[in-house]
Amino acid sequence: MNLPFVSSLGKVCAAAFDSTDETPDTPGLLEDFPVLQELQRMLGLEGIAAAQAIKHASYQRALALDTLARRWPRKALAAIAAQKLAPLDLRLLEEAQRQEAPFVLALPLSTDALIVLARILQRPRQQTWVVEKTPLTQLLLEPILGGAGNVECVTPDVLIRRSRMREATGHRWVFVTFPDHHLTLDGTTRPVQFLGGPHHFSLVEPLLYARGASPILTLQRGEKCLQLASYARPVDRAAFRESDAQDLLQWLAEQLETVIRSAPTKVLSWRELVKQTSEALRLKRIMDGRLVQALIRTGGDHFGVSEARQQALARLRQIEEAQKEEVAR
Amino acid sequence: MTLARSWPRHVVSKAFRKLVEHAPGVATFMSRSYGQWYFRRGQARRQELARNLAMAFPERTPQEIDELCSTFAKARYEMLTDQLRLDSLPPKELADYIRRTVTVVGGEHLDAALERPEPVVAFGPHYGNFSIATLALILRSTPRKSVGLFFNPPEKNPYAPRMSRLISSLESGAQILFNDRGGLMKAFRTLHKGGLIGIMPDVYDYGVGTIMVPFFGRFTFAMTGTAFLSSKYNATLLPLYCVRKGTDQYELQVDAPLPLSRTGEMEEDVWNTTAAIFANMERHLRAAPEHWMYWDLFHRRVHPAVQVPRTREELDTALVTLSRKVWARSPVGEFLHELAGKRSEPLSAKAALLEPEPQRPTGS
Repeated sequence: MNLPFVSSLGKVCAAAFDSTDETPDTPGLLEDFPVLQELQRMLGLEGIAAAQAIKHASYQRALALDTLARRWPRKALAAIAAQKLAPLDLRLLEEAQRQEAPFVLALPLSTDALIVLARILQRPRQQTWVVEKTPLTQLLLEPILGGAGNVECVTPDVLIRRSRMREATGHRWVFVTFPDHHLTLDGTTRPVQFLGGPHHFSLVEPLLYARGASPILTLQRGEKCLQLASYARPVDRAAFRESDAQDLLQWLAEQLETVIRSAPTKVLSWRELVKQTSEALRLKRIMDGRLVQALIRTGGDHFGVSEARQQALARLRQIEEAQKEEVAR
Repeated sequence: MTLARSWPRHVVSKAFRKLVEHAPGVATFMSRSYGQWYFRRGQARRQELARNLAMAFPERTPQEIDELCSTFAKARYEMLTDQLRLDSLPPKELADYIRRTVTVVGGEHLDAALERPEPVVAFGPHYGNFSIATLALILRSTPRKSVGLFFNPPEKNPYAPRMSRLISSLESGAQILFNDRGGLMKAFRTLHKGGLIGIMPDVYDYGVGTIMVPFFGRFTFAMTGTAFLSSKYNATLLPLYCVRKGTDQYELQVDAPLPLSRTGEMEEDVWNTTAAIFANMERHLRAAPEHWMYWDLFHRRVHPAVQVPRTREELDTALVTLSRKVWARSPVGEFLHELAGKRSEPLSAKAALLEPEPQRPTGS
C-alpha cells in the first residue's frame, strides 16, 4: 500500500482520520463485488454505488494508517491520540482500572476507536495492556503499539492463557479485543444478530468474562458522541453457560452496531468484517470441501486406488449436499 | 489525497489521448516509463507484486523477480495505451486496423474449428491485449459462425461498456452475453446452433459455483463455466493469446484444441477440463509472465498454505496442514482427520464454553 504524493505525518493522519469520503474514480475489482453486496445488505443501502463509496473510504483510511505504521511507528500513537474526537467520558474505565481484577475493552476496529485507545495508552497506567492479534491489528496496530510500553499483541489463545495466569503472577491485565473481526476458527465462535443478519463473534470475551475479567467495556454511540458502555449483568461465573455467552455477545454486538452504523466509512476493513457473517462462513466450509476434493483429484495414485478416491469424493459430495440442505432449512 | 480531483489530471489525460491518436509510438514510450516509475515509487505495491510473483515462481532469484516486476509494469501500461489507441479510432476504421495489425499464428486451428458444424468455445485469460484478441476473433469467426462473448455486467465490470462499444463498432452481429441467467440462456442457444462463445476463465466469483484447481503449484479459485459449456455441447475448446510485438503490431496465437475430459461423470469432466484450461494458461504465463494482468491479486486467489502435491509425502503433508486450518468438529474437519490418519481431538474447553477450568498454579 502507498499514498503517492503524500509525505508528512500530518497529511497521512488527515488522510486516515479526517478525510472526507470521496467516491472512487475507478470502480473496484470484480472480487470486491461479494463484499459490496454484503455491505449493502448489512447497512441497508440502496445501491452498490453507495456500498462502494463506503468501502473505498474505509480502504483509503486503512491505507493511510498502514503508511503511518510503517513510516512513523514511534510517533504514530501520539499523532493518533491528537486527532479530533469529542472527549470521551472515561469514568467507567477509570473505575475499572482502580480495581484489582482484569477487565476487557472490546472495540470495533474503526478510526474513532483507535483514537480512544491511543488516548488511553498515553495516560499513566499500571496494568499491562494485552491487545488481541487479528488479521488487521497485526498489520496496522502492532507496529504502532511496539513503543507504547506495557503493551503486548497476542493471539486469542494466548490472551485467554494470560487471564489464567493472573492469580499465579499477580499481574494486572487489561485485555483489548476486537469482536467484529478475528482470527478464531469456526468452532470457537457463536452467531449473533449483527448488522442485519447472523454474524459470528468470537468466544474470547465470554471466556475472559467467565474467567474473571470484568467489566466488559465497549463503545456505543450516544446522542451526540461516543461513550463507554459496561456489561455488568450478574452471572454465576462458576457455571457459565452457553446462554450467558450468547447474552454477552448479543449485548456487545448491539453496542458495536450503533458505532458502526453512525460512521461506516470509519470501519477499517469491511472485507474482514464480512468474512464473519454466517453466509461467508458457510461458503468457506463449502470451499474447504472443494479444496480437499482438489487435493484428492490432484493426488491421483498417491491417494490410493481408484475406488478409494471415488469413495472419498462421494463422501465429500454428501457433506456438501448436507451443508446446502442445512442452509435451505 | 489523490490526483482524482485535480484539474491538471484532466488536461494531461486529454493531451495524452491526442498523443496516442497521432504518435502512438511516443505515447507508448512515455506510458512505459510512467508505469515503471509508478511501480518503483509505490514501495508497498511493488512488494506485494514481488511477493505474488515469488509465490508463483519460487525458483527465481529476488533479482529476477524484481526485473519481472519492472517488465510487468511496462507491459501493463503498454496495454493500457493500446486500449486508448483502440478507443481513439473512428468506428469505421476499427475493423481495418485489426486486420492490418494482427498476425494470427495457429490460425489453422481456428479455421478448422470454424469449418466444422460443432460449436466452439474460445477462451483466453486477461493476458496481453485481450481486447484486440476479442476483436480479431470476431472478425475471423462471424462470417462462418454466430458469435457470443461473455462479460461480467457493468456493475461488476466497469470496462464492459467500453468493450461493448468496440464490439458494436465492428457491426459484425457478435452478441454481448452478460454473465447472468439471460446471458447463459443465449450462450446455450448459440452453442446449440453450432456457434462460437468467447470466455475469459481467469476471473472468478467466490461462490457456490467455484471450484479449486492447480495453478502455479497452488490451488486457485476457478469458475466452471468454460468447461461446463464445452462438455455439455461437445464443443471445440480453443485457447487464444494475444501479445504486443511493437507499435500497431500484435500476434494472436491460437493453440491446438484442448481435449475434453470424457469420463461420463459431469462433475469429474468439468473439474478435469477446468484443470486443463488452467494448465494451458499456466504454460503461457510461465513463458511470458509480464503480460498477465492479475499478478497483483495472485495471492488472493490461491490457497496460501496448501500446495499441489507431487509425491505421496507431499499429499500427506497437505492433508495434515489443511486439517489444522479447518475446525476439527466440522464434517470436513472430521473427514480430513480420518484421511490424515487421526481421529478428531477431544473438544477443548475453549471451544465448548462449559464450566471454566480450575486455575492451576502454573497457569500454562
